[in-house]
Amino acid sequence: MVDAFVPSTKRGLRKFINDVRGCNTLQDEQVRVRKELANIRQKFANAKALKAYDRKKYAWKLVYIYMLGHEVEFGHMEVINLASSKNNSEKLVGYVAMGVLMGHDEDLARLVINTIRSDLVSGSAFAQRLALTFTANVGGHELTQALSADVLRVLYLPESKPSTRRKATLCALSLWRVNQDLIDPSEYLSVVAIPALEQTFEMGLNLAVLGTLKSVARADPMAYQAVYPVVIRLLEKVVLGESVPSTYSYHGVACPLVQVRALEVLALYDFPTDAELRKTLVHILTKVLSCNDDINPQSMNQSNANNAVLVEAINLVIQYGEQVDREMMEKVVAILVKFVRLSDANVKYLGLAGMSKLAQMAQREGLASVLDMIRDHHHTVRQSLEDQDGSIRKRALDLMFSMCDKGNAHEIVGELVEYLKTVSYNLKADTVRKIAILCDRFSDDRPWYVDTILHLIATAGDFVPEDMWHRLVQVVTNNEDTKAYAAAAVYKMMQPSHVHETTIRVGSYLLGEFGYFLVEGNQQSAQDLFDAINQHLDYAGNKTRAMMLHAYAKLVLLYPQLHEDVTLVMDAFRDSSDPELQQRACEYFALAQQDRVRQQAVFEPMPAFPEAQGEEAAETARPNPTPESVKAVDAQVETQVEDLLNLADKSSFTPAPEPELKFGKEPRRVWLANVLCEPKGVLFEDHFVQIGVQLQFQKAAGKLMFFVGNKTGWVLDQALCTVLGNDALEVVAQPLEPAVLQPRAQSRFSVAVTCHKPFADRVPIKVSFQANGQFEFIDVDLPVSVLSFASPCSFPDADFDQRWDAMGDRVQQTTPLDHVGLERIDAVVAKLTALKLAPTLSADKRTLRGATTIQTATVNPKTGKPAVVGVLVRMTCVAGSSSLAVRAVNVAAAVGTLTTVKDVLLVL
Amino acid sequence: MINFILLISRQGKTRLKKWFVPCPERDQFRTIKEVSSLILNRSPKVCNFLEWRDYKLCYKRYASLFFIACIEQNDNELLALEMVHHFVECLDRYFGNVCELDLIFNFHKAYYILDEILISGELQESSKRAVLHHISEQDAMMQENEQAKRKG
Repeated sequence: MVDAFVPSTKRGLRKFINDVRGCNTLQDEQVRVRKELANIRQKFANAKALKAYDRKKYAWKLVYIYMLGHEVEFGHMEVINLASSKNNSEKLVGYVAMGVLMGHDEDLARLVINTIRSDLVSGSAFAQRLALTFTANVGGHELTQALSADVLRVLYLPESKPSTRRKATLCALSLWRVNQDLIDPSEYLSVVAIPALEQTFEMGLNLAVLGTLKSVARADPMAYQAVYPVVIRLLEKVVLGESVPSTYSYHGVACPLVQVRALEVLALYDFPTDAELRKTLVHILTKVLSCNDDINPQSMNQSNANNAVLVEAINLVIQYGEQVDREMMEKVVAILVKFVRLSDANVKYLGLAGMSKLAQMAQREGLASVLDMIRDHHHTVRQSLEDQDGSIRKRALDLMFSMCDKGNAHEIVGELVEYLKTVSYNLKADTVRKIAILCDRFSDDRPWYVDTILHLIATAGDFVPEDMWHRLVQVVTNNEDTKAYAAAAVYKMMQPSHVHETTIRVGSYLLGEFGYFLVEGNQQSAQDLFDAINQHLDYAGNKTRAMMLHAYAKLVLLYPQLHEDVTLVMDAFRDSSDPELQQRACEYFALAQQDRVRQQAVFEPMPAFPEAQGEEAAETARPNPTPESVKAVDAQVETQVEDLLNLADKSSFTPAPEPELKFGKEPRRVWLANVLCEPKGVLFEDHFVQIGVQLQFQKAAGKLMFFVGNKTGWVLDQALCTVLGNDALEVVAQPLEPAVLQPRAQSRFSVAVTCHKPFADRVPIKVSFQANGQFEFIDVDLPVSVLSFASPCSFPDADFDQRWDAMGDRVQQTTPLDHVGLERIDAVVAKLTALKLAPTLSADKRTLRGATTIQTATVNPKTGKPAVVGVLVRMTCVAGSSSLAVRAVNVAAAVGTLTTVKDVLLVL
Repeated sequence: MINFILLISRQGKTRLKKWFVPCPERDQFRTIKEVSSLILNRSPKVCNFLEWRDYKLCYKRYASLFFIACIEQNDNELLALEMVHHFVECLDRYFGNVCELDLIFNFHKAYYILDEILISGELQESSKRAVLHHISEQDAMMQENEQAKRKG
């Protein structure tokens, strides 16, 4: 078929490819490629004389060379010239070669704008399609700026063919990713989406439109709401009526790709409230869920296609949660169980992933029956942890984590600890983290918690992040009854002659603080404690040694009989090459000469940590964290290495975590959260500068005064602050005065803000300055949220519920808050009051209702007064967690309120 | 959406690559190296999905070639495999029992066909007939051109 049908590859090209294939070594290949490049360069030097045939041939050679991984630095112009040719065949080669060679280079893209534009306006469908394909695949700012109008024209043109239009819609999507104002929802829906989705003969167009909707409607679901019933009808036709042209049937399944895309679009919206739609949707889902029941799939592809649709339908059902009837939920569980038990690795993987989602949903909504059903298959999941496939092991681990609750926490943690012995290297850190989170979340049984964490440190010390043992210290310090137990446990752990570095650290800390329990209980003598720590002195790192010295200082105060030993050690370190150790040793040494009263004042036992910090560790405990949050956690772990015990701070002897430094939190988010609900505060601080802010808001306007203080001993010059507003939040910023920051002096700048419409995103402030000839850049968020312009309103609960229900079909945003439970409801009320949400607590203290109005400066033409947007907030709390729901007529107002409340509660 | 699509031979040679998101050249080659070593080392019995950075890799081996699609976290893995299979079926119909050599010597054809199936990381046509119809139109145009040249 090839020879008869496919025009043969050009002879020169074929020969070149053959030559390259014949090269045995990379050097040979390089020599051959360089020779060819030299040849092409020479030919292109006199490009005018080249025949079209040769130009195409050389273009392909360049593409081939580029694909092999060699650099191609020239020839782009010739390829662009090919694309601008009037000849269709040259144009085709030019466009495709450009698509590969140019990558996403914006400078080169600028050179082809004119060619693309003339092709887009030309009447030739062929040229239009090539231009659209290229623009879609390359995208980028330059093309978006220059070509948006032309692309949209082709998209909306009534005479555009379906094959052109499907390319145009995806091209518009590609440009939309750069500029989200590009597509006007109502125009897109009425001209393109709805007419396309109402027919079923051009399924390619449907596919492209659904692919576009999936992205654009996710950004603003309300604006595209009108398409919802149309998608359901389309799905009905495909799934139930199967009125699909035969060419779109894929291994006996009616266009599975359209089915999946349609389900994905439906997932952007809540379960429909309209009874008719609801009935159709349930009917469709039932049909899809039973598609694999009775037929024996004829081929791998058929079952794959069926399963692809099935997985998407299951996701949708899980998303609806309690709203679908029990029977359907049971069906979903049954399918997932079947998946997990199959030998097909792919299906097993998806089954485990689906079950993980299901378990999270069931935990969130408290569906005990579903959790029980999942738990029946605990054994199968446990077995999958040992699967030969790393991807499956990862999914099984996630599922173990999601299905853990109070009832089976001990069992699951026990199994995971056991699993730690055999786990593969790349899952080890994840396993350790998950065990620690589960322990923390279900840490009512303190000895169990202490034992498990100590065990983790002993067996997988390298994988235990700092904040994990800091958290242990907190829990022990805050619980009187745990102290003696922890001291005994850690004493036992310190016994072997060689232990992990982290063990020494936690051991030194706990024995220094609580070792006296052991002595008082006559279990060990003071000397035993000292020896238990000191036997590790030789091989411990300097940072660890510093903690050990501190423990000695604490011990010697209580037990003067250790004086000689301790003095010996301190003396030895007084000339340590490590400045920190040296300083510590000298100071402790000197302190020992002081009177006891002063010593006692310095070595006071640690006070209890504020519990607010404590539960933060559970923040990392979002079931099955998304990769972003995992990354964030990793990053936090890294930043935390900075030493929470404050050893670096030479002025202080108290080995306390700095109160401002929240566990597992980026300090910036803490600062921001505080400033969002206070009239003034610190927004940012590092070793160069401190940025403070004062805020004043009145109705839709606000004034912010920023103070930038130079903390260093030298001059910071060329200081600059830039804040750019947007159409929702107008920002007028005065420049920073003076622009040269003298040592320990302050500069200030003011920013005036006006809210024109509700917004969800924060506006960034960029601060830059030059320190010692090096530019430093600081990015912080402007501490202005949509709630900054709120004015509280309150009405009785019944009234609230009525309004809440009335807004039922408007935008609702919800989020679980895992770290804020019933216990801290009063603190929540205080924060929400500060946010001007006027919270009222229900009689049973489990539901918080708040209402506010966002003031804008936009004048409502009907009333002639500035427009206000109402926002309703409802928070339901149970012990240990709560969930937050926001309803508003405007999506940005809802999202903005939700994120602000979430951010502020984060530091509770 | 699909972030990139790769065709890699068992020896680790790139036969086709297409990125749908901006990615500097150097990173592309680094990614290809990383991804191919990850995938070539997987045993044939394990599943076809792999978490990689913040993405998921879905791959399938056809004879000596690995077809790899990199998708986002929330995308449907099986669907990605079916897209790949759809691409392979189109290649197969076009070349008639496609083999790696066809793709080596006619790599540009593979790009034409890919452009008819996927743009901006989304699927645009799932009917093999429609895809091949467009490609044969293009071929016919190319041939006419060549012939016209020869006569002229």
